[in-house]
Amino acid sequence: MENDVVLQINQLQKRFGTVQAVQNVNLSVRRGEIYGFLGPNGAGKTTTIGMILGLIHPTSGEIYLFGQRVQSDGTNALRRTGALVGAPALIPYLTARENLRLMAKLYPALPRERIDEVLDLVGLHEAADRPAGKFSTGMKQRLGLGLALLNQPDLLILDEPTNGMDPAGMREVRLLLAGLAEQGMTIFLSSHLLHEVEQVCTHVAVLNKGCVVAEGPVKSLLGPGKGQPTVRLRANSPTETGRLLMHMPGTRGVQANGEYVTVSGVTGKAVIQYLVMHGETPEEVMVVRPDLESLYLELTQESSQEQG
Amino acid sequence: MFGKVLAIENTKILKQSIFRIELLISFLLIAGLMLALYAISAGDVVDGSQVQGDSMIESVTWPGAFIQVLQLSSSSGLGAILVIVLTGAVTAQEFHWRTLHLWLSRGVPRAGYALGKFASLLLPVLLLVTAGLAAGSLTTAAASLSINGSLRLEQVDAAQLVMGVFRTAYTLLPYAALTFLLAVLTRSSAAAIGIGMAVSLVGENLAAQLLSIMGGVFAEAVKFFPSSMANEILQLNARIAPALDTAASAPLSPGAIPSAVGILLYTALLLALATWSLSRQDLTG
Repeated sequence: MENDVVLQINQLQKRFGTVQAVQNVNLSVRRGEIYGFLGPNGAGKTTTIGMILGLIHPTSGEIYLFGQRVQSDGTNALRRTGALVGAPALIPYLTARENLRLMAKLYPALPRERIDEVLDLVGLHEAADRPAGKFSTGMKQRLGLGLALLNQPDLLILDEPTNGMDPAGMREVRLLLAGLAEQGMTIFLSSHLLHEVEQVCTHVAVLNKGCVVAEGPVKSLLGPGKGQPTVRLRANSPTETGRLLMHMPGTRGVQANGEYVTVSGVTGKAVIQYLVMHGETPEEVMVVRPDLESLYLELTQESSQEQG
Repeated sequence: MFGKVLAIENTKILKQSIFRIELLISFLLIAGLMLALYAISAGDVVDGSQVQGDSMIESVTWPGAFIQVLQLSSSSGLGAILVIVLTGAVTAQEFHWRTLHLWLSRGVPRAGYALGKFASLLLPVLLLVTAGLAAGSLTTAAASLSINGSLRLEQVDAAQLVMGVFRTAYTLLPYAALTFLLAVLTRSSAAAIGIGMAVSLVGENLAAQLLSIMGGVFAEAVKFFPSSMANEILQLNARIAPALDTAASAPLSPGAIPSAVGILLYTALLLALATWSLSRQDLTG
């Protein structure tokens, strides 16, 4: 295994009774990457993360963290990770500072000042001596993030870290993650907020129905020839224009929304030529470049149709 | 890793309100019960039932009161209830709050966690017995002075009194281990406490009575029930007041040392089952 591979997953499978939650997942995360882990609800993301953290037993397959195989009965390499999975695990009757102090007992080498540093980092210094149980959802999420960062992990695993945060808090987390990545921390991020993932992540894997349907650097997945461009046009009678475009050769999908029509599978130039040829002149035409959201929707819908 | 888990879990449990409430309950209930016993014994003396009155007076004045108080804090008294509630609540909440996930996801081995968590209950159990003893000692000190005119401290074997606290706490361990196992299996405080109470307060007695009626080997088996072995160990608390005539009741169990080993085996077996169950669980959600 190459030295810069932080997380390696080989042929990972998990079955709960008759439900195949994760099947044949292979992926590899290298040092310094911000790796987005995407997929609809029930795709198997949290189950995969649970197996990485040794909380769930894989049915088959292997997971390596820093070259060490993850076992559910304790893996030393997990001491080099920090994780926030779902709702943060906090002791509600202890203050934020006490929660951090308790976690610090697992890492005797941590300097005492680290607790204050973390409280500053996640913006909880003023609320440090309030019981965690009295925190708002966003504050709990910040404390969860603080617990994940306390040991200055080499790998940070986050599952929906901005849940319950307001837009300003989400932006702060985005900036924090970018800053941590600049310092060389590897981040494995599962999120529904695709715009956020696209802004932050260097690599992504898209999971659907337990299978990885795409994996690679964001730039390469969204690069030329990848993903389907869509053409968005404003028409006087969008319904009729939409009907007309459905018969256009190469069209993969047409959707009318208000005074706009969105067409996929064809170029803007071809749409204009086709409409003019049929006596229609669009008011406005724009080509929407493929983004992570369109790629994600395309991949998850395609794979659902194939499997359905 | 075991030491770190033990330190973490001890901090958590000692700061928890349920433990502090239980300490208060133990203190108040035992003080109340000893006061009630004192009132009853005073009534018996007034009524003229002298023999019964003497025995009652012995149990509410020093040094006999210590034996009585420890009996009340034992597995056959309030102790079992307090320990079952405490163990069920503090163990199942780890699943509910997902704090268990937090430690395990940092590489803490499941067996190390289970052993550390259980070991963290030992100090609170000891403190619950001590709180009961403190409450009982304070109330019966007043009774001793009022009845005997002195505390009769010369009749107290202090080392045995300390040993008595440990012995009493020790008899509670199988009940803590049973509830720990139930909490790991069900991940629910209510289920762990409910089933734990039913088994220890009703089930064990019922089974003992049925087996005694059946006689023979079945009746012999009752000797090896945790409650029977606990009683055998608690009889050693009579050494706290050697001057008193505390003739042991007819022995049922196999003796103090085999009983201590038996209690240890019950505890170890239940703890091993809890650890095994935890090691096989998928911690989802």
